[in-house]
Amino acid sequence: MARYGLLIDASKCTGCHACSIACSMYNELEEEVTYNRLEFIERGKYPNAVMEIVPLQCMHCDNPPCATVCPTNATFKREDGIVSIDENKCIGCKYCMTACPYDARQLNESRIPEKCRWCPEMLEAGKQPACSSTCMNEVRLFGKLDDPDSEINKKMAQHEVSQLVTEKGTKPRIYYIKRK
Amino acid sequence: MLTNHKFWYAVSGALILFGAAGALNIIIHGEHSMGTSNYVPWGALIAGYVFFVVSSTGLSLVAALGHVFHMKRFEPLAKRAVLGSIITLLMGFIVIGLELGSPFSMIHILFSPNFQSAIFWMGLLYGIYLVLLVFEFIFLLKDDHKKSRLFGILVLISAIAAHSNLGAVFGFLVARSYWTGPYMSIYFILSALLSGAALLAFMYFLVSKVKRTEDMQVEGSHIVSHLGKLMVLFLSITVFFTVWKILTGVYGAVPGKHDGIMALLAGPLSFQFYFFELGFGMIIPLLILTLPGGFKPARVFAAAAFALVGIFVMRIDLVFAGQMIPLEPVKGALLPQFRDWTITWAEWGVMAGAIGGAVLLYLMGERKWNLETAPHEEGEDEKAPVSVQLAKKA
Repeated sequence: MARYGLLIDASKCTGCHACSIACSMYNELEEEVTYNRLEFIERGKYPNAVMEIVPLQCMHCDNPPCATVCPTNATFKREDGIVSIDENKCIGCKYCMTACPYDARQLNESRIPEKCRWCPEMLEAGKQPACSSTCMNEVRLFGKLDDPDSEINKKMAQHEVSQLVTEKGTKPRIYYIKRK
Repeated sequence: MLTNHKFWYAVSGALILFGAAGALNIIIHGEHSMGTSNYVPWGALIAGYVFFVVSSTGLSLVAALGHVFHMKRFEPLAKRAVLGSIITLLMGFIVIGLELGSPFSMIHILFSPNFQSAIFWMGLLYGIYLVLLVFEFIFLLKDDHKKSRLFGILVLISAIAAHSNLGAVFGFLVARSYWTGPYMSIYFILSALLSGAALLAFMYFLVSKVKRTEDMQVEGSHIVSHLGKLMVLFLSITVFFTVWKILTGVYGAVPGKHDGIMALLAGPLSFQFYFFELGFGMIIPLLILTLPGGFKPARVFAAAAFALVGIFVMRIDLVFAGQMIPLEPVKGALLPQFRDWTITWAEWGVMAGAIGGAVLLYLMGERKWNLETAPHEEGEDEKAPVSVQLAKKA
């Protein structure tokens, strides 16, 4: 069983939001709903100001707080590392939404807190998910963390990487290439 | 007016109609009819649910003073307190049922339980608590002191377990520093005592007026006075907890926790915090009760009414202060200072309807059952704890 991970090179992101639109279209989401978003940081002061962009989505944590708090195991961790949801078991208590330190959950019309599932059918077919394949700058790279020859592992070996909100003990599966 | 049955039936009827309209709106329009968002997922109905189940726990705990711990002056309370406890718990269930997106999927709690989830334990423990309460009430009605006391003890244990676990539902949330830690479980139990004493004083004052029998008027006014004294203790404990919550929050500047406290002290929650939570919930009732003549029943009633409004707003503050501070997964990202939330008419309706439902069920209970507690038999006093027996001899 593969162990999936995602490497993000945020320095290449232009802020075009194509990833968000691709996600909404692929998952047939309602208006203004997307499972990934961009966060903006302003650094410095005019005239030496820059804007950094950081793509954000479900981190598919190895210690997912959303799954820990779910009373019916509707949210669960798959063997391949994807944090998934069984909608039939969800009672709509929104505990997962309050537990997620990344604000990754989006309530759908059926009052189920949905989120990015890394398009598993694409990964299993050896393809990149919608957000990644649509990106003109190849900001995202999905791959198998347990395969030493995978692209993601090769790239991670070449760069220094970091993760978000590690202090909450979530052990996220998304890595960010540190900016130079 | 307050002592007229018909007035209360009319009030409860109107509130229930408002509640039914709100509930229908939520059932039809779902989350759109609620003041929640993806960033503030828990809305006013969570606060309403907490208010009702805190009341239920508080009523059980105060009932236990007489019924389990043999404090004579509180013994006559038992039946009304336990009935009130069952009713407020049921109303709490209705409120949370409407907050849940798919309440019927609760069946999966049986088939696919997650023992790590505080909400799983919440369902289980409150379920057990409700069943035990019903048994306690049945034996109280039969004046079977032995069995009702046994169930009283079990209710006491289950109430503390269920309610402290409700605190843990918030306390386990590592992502939200405002709530994280053991404080919530302890605070929930101690503030339940205040809710219980205030609600009983409120109820008992009205019941003693409505009943108009001489016995009830004398007994009622005695009990209300004693409840007033309890309220002073419980109000002081609540002040103590609030003061330390604020000081530790301000002192350390811990992200999330500090911001939540500042939202109360100098942010969007400050009016309701100072005016209702502190003013109505603590300072005004303490002043009413501690100034000379404060334990006269009418004064205790007024203090209880203020405290109940304050406690309700306390729950609102608790739920929203923990969520309105934006999480910051990306440090330095451009975020609003506070996340928006509101309480919609549908949510007000559901909470008002639950109050109406509680009043109606209580009136029906008073009508159906004799809720006066028969004196315990003489021999039973010997089974009381040694300390109680010694106190009596003294």
